[in-house]
Amino acid sequence: MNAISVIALTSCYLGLLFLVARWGKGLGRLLIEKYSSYFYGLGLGVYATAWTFYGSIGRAATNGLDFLAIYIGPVLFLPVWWFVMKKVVRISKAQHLNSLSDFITARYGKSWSLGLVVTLLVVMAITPYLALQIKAISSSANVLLSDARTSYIDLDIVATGLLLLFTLIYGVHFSFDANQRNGLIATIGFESIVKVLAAFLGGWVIIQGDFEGGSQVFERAEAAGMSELFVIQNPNDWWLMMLVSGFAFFLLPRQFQMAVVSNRSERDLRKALWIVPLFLLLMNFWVVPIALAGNLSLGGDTNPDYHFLSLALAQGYQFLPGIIFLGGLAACTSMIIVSASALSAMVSSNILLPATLKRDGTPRFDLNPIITKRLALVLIFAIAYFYYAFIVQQESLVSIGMISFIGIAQLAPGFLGALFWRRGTSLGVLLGLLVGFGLWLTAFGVPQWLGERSGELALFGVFENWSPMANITFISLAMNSLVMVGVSLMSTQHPLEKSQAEIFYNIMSIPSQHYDRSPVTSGKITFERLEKMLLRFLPDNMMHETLYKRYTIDRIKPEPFKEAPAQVVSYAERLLTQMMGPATARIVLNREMEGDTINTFDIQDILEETRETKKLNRELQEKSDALARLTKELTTANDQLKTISTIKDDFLYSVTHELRSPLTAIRAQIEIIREEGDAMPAEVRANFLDATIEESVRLTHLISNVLDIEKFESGNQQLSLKRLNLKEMIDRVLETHWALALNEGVQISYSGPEHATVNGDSDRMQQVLVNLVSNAIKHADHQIKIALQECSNKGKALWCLELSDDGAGVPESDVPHLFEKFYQSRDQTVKKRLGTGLGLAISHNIIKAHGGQLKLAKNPPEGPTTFSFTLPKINTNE
Amino acid sequence: MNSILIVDDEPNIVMSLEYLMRSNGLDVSIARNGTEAIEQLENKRFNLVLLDITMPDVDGYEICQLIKNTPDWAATHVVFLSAKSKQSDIEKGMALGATDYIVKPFSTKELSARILNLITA
Repeated sequence: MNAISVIALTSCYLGLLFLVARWGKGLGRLLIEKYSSYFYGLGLGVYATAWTFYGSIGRAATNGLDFLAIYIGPVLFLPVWWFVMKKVVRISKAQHLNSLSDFITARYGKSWSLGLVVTLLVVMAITPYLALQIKAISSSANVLLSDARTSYIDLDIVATGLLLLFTLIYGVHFSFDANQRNGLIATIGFESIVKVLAAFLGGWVIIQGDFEGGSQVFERAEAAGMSELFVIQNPNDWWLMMLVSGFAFFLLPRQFQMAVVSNRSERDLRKALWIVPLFLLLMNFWVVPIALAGNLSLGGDTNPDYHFLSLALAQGYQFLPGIIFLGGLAACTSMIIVSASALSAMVSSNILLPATLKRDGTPRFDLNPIITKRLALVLIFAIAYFYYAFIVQQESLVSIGMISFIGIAQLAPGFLGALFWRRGTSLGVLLGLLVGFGLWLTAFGVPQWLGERSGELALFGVFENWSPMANITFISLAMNSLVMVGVSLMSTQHPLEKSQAEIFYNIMSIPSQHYDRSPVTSGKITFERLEKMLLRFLPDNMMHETLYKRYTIDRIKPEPFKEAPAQVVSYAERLLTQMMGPATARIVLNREMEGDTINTFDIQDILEETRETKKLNRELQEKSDALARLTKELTTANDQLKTISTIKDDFLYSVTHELRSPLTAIRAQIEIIREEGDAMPAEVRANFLDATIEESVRLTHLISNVLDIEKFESGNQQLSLKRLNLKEMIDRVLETHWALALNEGVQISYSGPEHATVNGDSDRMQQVLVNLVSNAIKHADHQIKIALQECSNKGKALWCLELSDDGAGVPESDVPHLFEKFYQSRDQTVKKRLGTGLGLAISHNIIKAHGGQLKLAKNPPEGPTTFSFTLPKINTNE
Repeated sequence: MNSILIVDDEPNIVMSLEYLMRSNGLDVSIARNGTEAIEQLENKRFNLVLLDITMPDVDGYEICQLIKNTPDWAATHVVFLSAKSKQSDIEKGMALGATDYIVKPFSTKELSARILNLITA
């Protein structure tokens, strides 16, 4: 490629970014809103920069697998990231915080000096990193040049200029205008797709196409003596690199920008848990094969960082080098755009805007925050370009990246403390940060200023078997944390800080309606003065739109000379915070308030109140549950009572009904005998009297049966248990029934042992046997068989008695009701009907009371009608 | 001669009713259950049926319904004679077209008087 086409390609791509951003703000808006979680996940892909796209290959080509820690770290941290970021996102939305420095200063009492230190640290850590991206654009463009030895292009200045322009337009805006964000979200999502496709597909084409798959590359590399590149060379540094990259995934300004500021909903965080690992996997998939392939087939004088591009060129592909170049360009530009826009917000809020104010907050001159942000952007680009042009020409991509990560990691103690430690004070964090920052600067900055390349000051050699970089990381982070904790414990928090500490710590349990009330200022300010103050920083129409929307929501009538209520002041403060960060916003507001003490209102009260309410609600809920349970139990009990009462009624009705029949016969017969007197033939009279006696006997049976059943059902039966020989009982019953059987033409046979001992009530057992035998005689045609044998159920030894007859059997419809009270067969083939309808019901109850079971064992057609019952067997040897 | 059908499954009650109605000069037929009752009805016209309700096969209500729904038999008086004493049982019987409902046990004199009234009226 010649220089003109490289410049054209770059400019076209950057032009495309403008189009994508425009699309995101316009037509693409709906799409972004619908698939916000995917755009969110892709946005987090801003983590992959030129360092990933080119630098990892360079590192793998010289140092083996060490580079992987940079990606494994964040992936391992992701669950923690999700947990922590949910909190951060909620806090930032509640308090309108727009950058990492906003977040930290807001927690630590809105301290301006802390914001300043954080901003300086971030700028110092990130600007070299920005410079590196510019360098990567320029270097990759020059690799692409076909006659690299003779010509050279200054693509850097063009690209930097275009990027500055892009960021000025799309990276800076009034951040409460949600739609403005979509331009940036669309662009970064697009760039993530471009770089991941270029990395994965480009690697695939080269390795699969020219090296017949990865395995061949590995074989050849091993043969060429490169096997030290297959392993992790500095395992001691590994954990540290993972830790630092994990922190970086939380704390890098560009990550914070995409994860928090560009977040639409807390729900979107969840999908990132698989999108980010997948993205990083695809980005790194071909890194090692490409690195080895580059080492194998390219000369030793090529820069290993650009193996990818050089390989594509060397293999003579026509379009592939251009595509890979665009992937690398996407990695660089996305990083530059997001980082610069995040940095500009910090520089504007913590340095430029405060510079427009006097110490007491009186304005020296008024500057719109948009202007200060743009100013900050120009400044950052200028520093980055300066750094690129005069300092970092020789550094490798990875080492500068790592130094920058370690710098950013210094924010971790203060950041995590903000969320999980209520006792941390602004002084503690400030001093801790200064110590960590100072050590980092000494270690990396001083040697650089002394002219040593990529040097680390050797005075940090605490652990001998660690690399100097690991030593520096450990020492700076440890000192930072120690100082932060120590100083915090010795200093006190002022009220605002205390209140913010509670809010940050407890954000997940504070009901959202209290977000509004959170940091309230207690001084007085009129509506007129408040609006005038906002107008200094906001365009007229925007101020009115947001403020009046708020008035409507809160049903507030703004009367110019009346005092604005607390929630309006608090809202105004949050508007200011959004534009200039919490510290500067507080300075501006305090200046306008009369009597500027803060916070009569205690977050502790809210929390206490919330806890109380929750507890009360829970107790109420418990009581209500208990009540519901009780009601249900009562209803059930009532239903049961009703059922029992109905059963009792039915029973009584059945009893009276059954009593009426014999009584009817008796009364009628006696009345007739009396009425007729001597007119009645003696023979008839005798018949009548016999019938009367018969009915009286029936009545007596009935009454004793009813009493029996009542006893069994109420559990009042008393069995006088004795050892009984079942065989003897059967004999006795058969003796009393032989005449009846003979009369009916029925034969009875017995099979079984002579002795069968059970524990039983002799009268009751006799009652059962009589009932069964007389029933059988009633229904049998010719034959009744009684069989007694041993059996068992669930390991218990039992006696089992079966009584079968050769009759027609129990009608199908009667089987389910056989043991019900007063149920009598509707079958008319029954010879006669003298029963009370209680016999089987009573027998059933008696056997049950003896621990056995009476049932209809068989019924035609499956066999002869067979009733059987079991009784526990008594071992006669006992 | 006025004829009457006694339907009841209690032999001793049937015995008394048969004697009572004969001595009142009625032509008495007997059925021991619902099925027998229907056979009798098919063979002969009765002035009155004295009908028990609880019987093993077809119950008294069904027979009453059958009588009232058969045009040839509809003129026959139906008098229930039952131990079922609930108001709802009585109402059900009357609703099926019975002329009277007498609860067991009954006074023989009263029963005779009612039956004779109905038949000779």
